[in-house]
Amino acid sequence: MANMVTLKDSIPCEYCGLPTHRGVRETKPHDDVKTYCCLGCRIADGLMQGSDVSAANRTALTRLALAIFFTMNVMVFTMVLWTWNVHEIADEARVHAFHEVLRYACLLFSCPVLLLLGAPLVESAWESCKLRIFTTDVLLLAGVVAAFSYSVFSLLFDLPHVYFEVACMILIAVTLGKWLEATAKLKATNALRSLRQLLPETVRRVEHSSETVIPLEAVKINDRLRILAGERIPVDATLVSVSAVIDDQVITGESIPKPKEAGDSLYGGSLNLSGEMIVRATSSSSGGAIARLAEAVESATHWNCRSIRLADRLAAWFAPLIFVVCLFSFAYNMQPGFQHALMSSLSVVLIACPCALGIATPLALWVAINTGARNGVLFRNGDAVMNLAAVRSLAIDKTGTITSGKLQVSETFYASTSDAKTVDAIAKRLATASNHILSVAVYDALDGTPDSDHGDAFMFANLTDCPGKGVSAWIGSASAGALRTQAVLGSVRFALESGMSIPDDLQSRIDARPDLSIVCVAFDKQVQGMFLLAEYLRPEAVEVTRKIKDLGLKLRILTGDVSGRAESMESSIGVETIGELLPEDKSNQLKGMPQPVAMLGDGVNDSLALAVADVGIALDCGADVSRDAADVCLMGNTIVNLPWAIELARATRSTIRRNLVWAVSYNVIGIGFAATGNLNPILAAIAMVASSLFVLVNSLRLQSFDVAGTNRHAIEFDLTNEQTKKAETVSPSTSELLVASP
Amino acid sequence: MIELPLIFVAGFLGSSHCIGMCGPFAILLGTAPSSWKTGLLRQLIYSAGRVFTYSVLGATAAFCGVQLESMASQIVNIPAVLSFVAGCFLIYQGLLSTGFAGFFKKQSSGAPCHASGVLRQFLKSSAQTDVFLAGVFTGFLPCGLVYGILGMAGSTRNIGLGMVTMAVFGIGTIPIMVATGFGGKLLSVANRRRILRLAAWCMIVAGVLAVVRGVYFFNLTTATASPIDSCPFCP
Repeated sequence: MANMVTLKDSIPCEYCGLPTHRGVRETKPHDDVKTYCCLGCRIADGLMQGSDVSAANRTALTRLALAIFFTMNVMVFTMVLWTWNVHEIADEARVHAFHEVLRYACLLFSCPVLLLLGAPLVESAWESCKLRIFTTDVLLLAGVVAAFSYSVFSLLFDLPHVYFEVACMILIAVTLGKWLEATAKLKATNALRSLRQLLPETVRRVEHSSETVIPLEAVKINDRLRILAGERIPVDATLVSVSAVIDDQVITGESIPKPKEAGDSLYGGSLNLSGEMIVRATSSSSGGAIARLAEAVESATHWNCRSIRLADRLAAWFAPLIFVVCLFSFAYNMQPGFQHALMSSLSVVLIACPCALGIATPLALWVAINTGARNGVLFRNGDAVMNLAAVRSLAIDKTGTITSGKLQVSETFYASTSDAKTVDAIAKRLATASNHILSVAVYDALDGTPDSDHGDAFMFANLTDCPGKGVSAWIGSASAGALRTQAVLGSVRFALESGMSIPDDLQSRIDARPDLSIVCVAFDKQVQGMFLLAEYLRPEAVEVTRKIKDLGLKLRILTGDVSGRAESMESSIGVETIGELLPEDKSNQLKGMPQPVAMLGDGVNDSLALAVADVGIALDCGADVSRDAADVCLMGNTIVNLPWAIELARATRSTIRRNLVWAVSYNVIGIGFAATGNLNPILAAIAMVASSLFVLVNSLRLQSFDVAGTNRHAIEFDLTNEQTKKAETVSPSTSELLVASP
Repeated sequence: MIELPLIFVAGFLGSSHCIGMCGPFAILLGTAPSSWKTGLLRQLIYSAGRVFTYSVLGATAAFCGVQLESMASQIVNIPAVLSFVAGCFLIYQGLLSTGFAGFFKKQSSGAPCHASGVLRQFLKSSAQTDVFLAGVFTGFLPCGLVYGILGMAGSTRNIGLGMVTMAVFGIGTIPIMVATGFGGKLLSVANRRRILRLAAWCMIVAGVLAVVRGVYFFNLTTATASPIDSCPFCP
């Protein structure tokens, strides 16, 4: 198989867009002839030329239809010939004459079939011969020629049997089977084609006070665009208008529309559900989320996974093997007669046609990858689907997956002698000096509160960001115009190191909550207040972990937090949690879990574990589907689709197994019957089409595995109930809030 | 065959039901032509295609009957069984259409048939060949009425007679289909339902006759009368 193409060289099929595994034309790079992955796609493309159905080229379809019409006639003549001996014969001479008329009618009506459908098969076989690849198309063509030639010979020399109907049925079955296969491939990869068509052809660009309508391709980065209610955002952009409600389900798979504020990022292809809005483009038309997603999915379908590579290797041996079986069958059945031997060999060729076997794995994987992408789950390749289906355990990096990854101030305490207004004002001003996640959380909590807007009453100097500790500054009253004391915002240790004391009432608070992150604000030689920061569990976390456990996976949460926080997590969510882990410890933890193991992370500080795991699953990849460490990307910033993704992978694996069991059983049993002369070629042809149809329908059923929406709604419903119960019975400080260190 | 006139009437009246499914095809045919003569010709060609397919199906059913008979005639009285089963099937289809056996009826669901796209291309074509081929493929569409008559064709044990049975049924469907292609709404839904009931009763009568014939065959001994007919093509 020296001519087998590599993935890199693979040319996409002109009809269905899938890789041309056989690489029929890759040896002629300058050839402008269209490239197809199979004979079926060549036929189907001929049938459906032109994007508009009414403008489609009907000639090829008419040819197939006419061939079927002529074959129906041949079949009726043949049936009459086959039942001749059943009836009582009155006048033998006239009957013989009529018999001859029917035989010639068979010849007359089968010639058009040969002309109409034989040409593509001849062309395909010729291509294979030129590349010295022995395919089943060569065998099928040989079968057609043999059946037709023998029948003509039989007619001319008055031999008893003719097999025109066999030649016609082979051609019809092969053409119909290949066309069905090509149509199924097109259907499997149709999701992203329709996704691209969602984008508008023209957009409104706003320049100063004027507005011009320009083609989508003309949009440049930083262009200001006006989007009306109900329109899709044409490219990735940031919101300039004050607020908007956006439905980005096509990218993230999340069905709930999200409110967006000015400055928020928007995915190209998202739907504007609110009124008119202005956005600023952050990508060109070719670099938006939809283009990236489509590119990633195309790349996934172009990747030959292990099982497809194995099937390709087997296919290379299949045709020569079948040729040997044909010879054996011919020799074995020569005893009853030449006709019987010929028919047995033809049956072997037909029943052994590996259409179903060849398409059993790739078609199911293509459908799964496209179905996943349609629901906000991007499988990097076919192996990712198969590996995810096989995993027995799942490790979850806590921060950013089970929890939101964003710290929030859950509680604020002030010293009994402090003025809350002053403490908030100083804390807010100090927080602006650092980009640390804790400073940002404190600033976010105080921003907009009336008490914190008195920063102007103080003057600040020597604002210093001490990495890993906090912020310090000298402050004084603005009215006095003099600096009088040092102020710090940071950890308890930093406050102590800065010479601050901790009042007893605040010390008791610190002792009571060892599992929380604490930020102190101190001045006048003592800690004046402190902010307790918590990381919130994602609302879907409890339901999702329960569902994953129901799927039979061993679950473990890994975190770098102190043990106290890990224990708090374990008790609140009911999943084993291991704390105080460094990134390399997390990857070591995976080895102790039932194999194969999947790792879910946000891709920030768990890249090593994601890469080490059998399946790495990353979150919130909508903006960056090219993240390499993950095999599976959840496009939205939610884990709600994770159980569904595992179920889809398992359903795909089951579908592939069913397909393979069917295809292999069909071939083995069928070849057994055919080789021993117990299978009529016409039945073999019908069985061949039926087998392909079974595999196609079985694989395409995965398209309706669209339970993401159902699951989401079910979870949302459950969560509503769950949260209501929690609010009534459980203190938020112990169950909904979980502390994490960044 | 005493049932042939009944089958023609069943086809004629039963096609009032067909216009529910096949009617849109006939109407599609009527949108293209410029004159009524061309339209009529297209309708007739389309119907000829359907009749052709029905005939081939009839031949196939009869062939299967013959083969079954030749294989198992020593074990059971195949002609009697075929005739009996076909009659029962006709009665069942008739009862379904009258509404008496509605509880047996399984509702169809799912996505639209992919065949419609292919058929539309042929139906909207101006070429007569395409119109004929559209008729050929429409003949394959699943229909309880067709299945019933097909069972009857299978029990004839004679390819020629099987073809004739189905052809007569197909010819019976032509008038109302052609009228539908021209008028579109010549018949109201209520009238269609009434006519369909009449057709259903025709099917039931034909079915009863087939059952009676089957019972008659059961009572015949192979020595006194072979139910095998003579060759339909012989003089």
